[in-house]
Amino acid sequence: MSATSLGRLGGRVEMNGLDVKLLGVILSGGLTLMAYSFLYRENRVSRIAEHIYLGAATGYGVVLSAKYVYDNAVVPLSKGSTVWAIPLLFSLLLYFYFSKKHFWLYRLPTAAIIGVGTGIVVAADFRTRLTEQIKATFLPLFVANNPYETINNLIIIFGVIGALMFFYFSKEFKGPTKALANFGKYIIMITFGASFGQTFMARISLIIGRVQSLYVWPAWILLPVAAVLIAVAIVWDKRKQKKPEAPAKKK
Amino acid sequence: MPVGLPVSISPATASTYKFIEGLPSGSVVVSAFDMSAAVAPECYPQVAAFTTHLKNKNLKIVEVAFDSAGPMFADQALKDVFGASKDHSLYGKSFVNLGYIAGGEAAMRAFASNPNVIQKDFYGNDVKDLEIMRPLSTAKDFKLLIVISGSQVDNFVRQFGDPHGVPIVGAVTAVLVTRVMPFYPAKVVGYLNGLRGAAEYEQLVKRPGIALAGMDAQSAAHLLVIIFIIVGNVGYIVRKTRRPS
Repeated sequence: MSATSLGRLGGRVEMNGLDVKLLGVILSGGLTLMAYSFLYRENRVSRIAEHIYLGAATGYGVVLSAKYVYDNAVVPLSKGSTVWAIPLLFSLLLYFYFSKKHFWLYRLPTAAIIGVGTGIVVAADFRTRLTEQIKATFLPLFVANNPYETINNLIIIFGVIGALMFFYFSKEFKGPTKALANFGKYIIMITFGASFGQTFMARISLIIGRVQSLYVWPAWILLPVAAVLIAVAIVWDKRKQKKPEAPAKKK
Repeated sequence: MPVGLPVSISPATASTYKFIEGLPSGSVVVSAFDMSAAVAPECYPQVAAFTTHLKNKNLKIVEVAFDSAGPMFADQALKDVFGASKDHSLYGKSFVNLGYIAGGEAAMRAFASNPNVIQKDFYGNDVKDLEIMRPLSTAKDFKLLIVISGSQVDNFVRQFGDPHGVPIVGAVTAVLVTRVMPFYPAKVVGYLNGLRGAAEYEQLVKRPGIALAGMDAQSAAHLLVIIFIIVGNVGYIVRKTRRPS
């Protein structure tokens, strides 16, 4: 096999006789443990893992974006579709960000990006998150033979009105309006609670995913190695703390 | 050793399964990968379960990514479920991985207006040569959009759901679920709630996988937190009652 060739051999991906999948598992497990060493304290190892992650993610994104531009604009341009020269040249103006003298040229594509982005979102968002959501609250107050839906509809209708009233500060609420605003406050608190619960569940899921990745041979071998390294770091720290400070020199 | 704590099927997961079950064989479904590596432990098991269901139902799958990490997971899902991606005999006929489209929501709008807007797929094949892509002219030709996301679903509702009437299913992280709920069931016909949703779906498609394996740990962690909350509150009440007036 040549030095650069990469191929599948009997279910294994090999490069120069090295099992790439095995290497991937060891690297992934090693980086996971390096990142988790932050739990003891911030250290160079965790920072290296952090930088590798950011660097790899950014590099991967840049390459894919460049490939997209190449496939969809440069290739058609080279085949005679000259219209693609306009967006390509226009986007190159973004690099004038680094020029103090011609910085104004950078503003042109930036304005176009912001303008198009805002135009696409605002017009559609008015419908998606305002009118359609208002429409969804137009519900019957009583549903025959279905008490659960009746209660659900009442909670939605009065919950929305109450939550909106809670944020109306121009008038002091008294009597039934105060009760409705209070009901809205409890609805908001329940919503935040649900969001927090969901966030907690997501974080636990992420830890489970990482632990599952360490449960694969030979990644779990790294666990005792990491434990030993952290133990050494703790002992090192303790010894450093115990070391008496050198007396200050008298002037 | 798994304990095998029961995982009940939530209404949102059941309605997702029911909707896909109701799709006629040969319908084209688009899977939009708006996910990064950071959410893979939650989203990838969902993708694997979904793709299995789509394959079992003989539905055509168009995979497209709006996050640069997306194509990698799309490719992995094809390999896990079909056994191969670009080398499979059905590639380009029953499924395709179009790769990453740069541009965020503007790219979504362009793809919804014309799914053939991109020239090459993730592996460098000409999109116009792919059989699955030929009959597609707008997003209306998709019978379902599966959004795999850890950031938002609103943008897909804005660009696919509202203007083109494409039914949407969310394969989302647990954090995102409270933002999907306002669209359910009118715009989003169903959704999977993080790892738990994936575990539910694995049960429905009878493909026990990594999500179901992780649910024991998830349930145990939740139980522990519930115990801590109870102990903390009991302690607080006891201290309050013992305090001299």
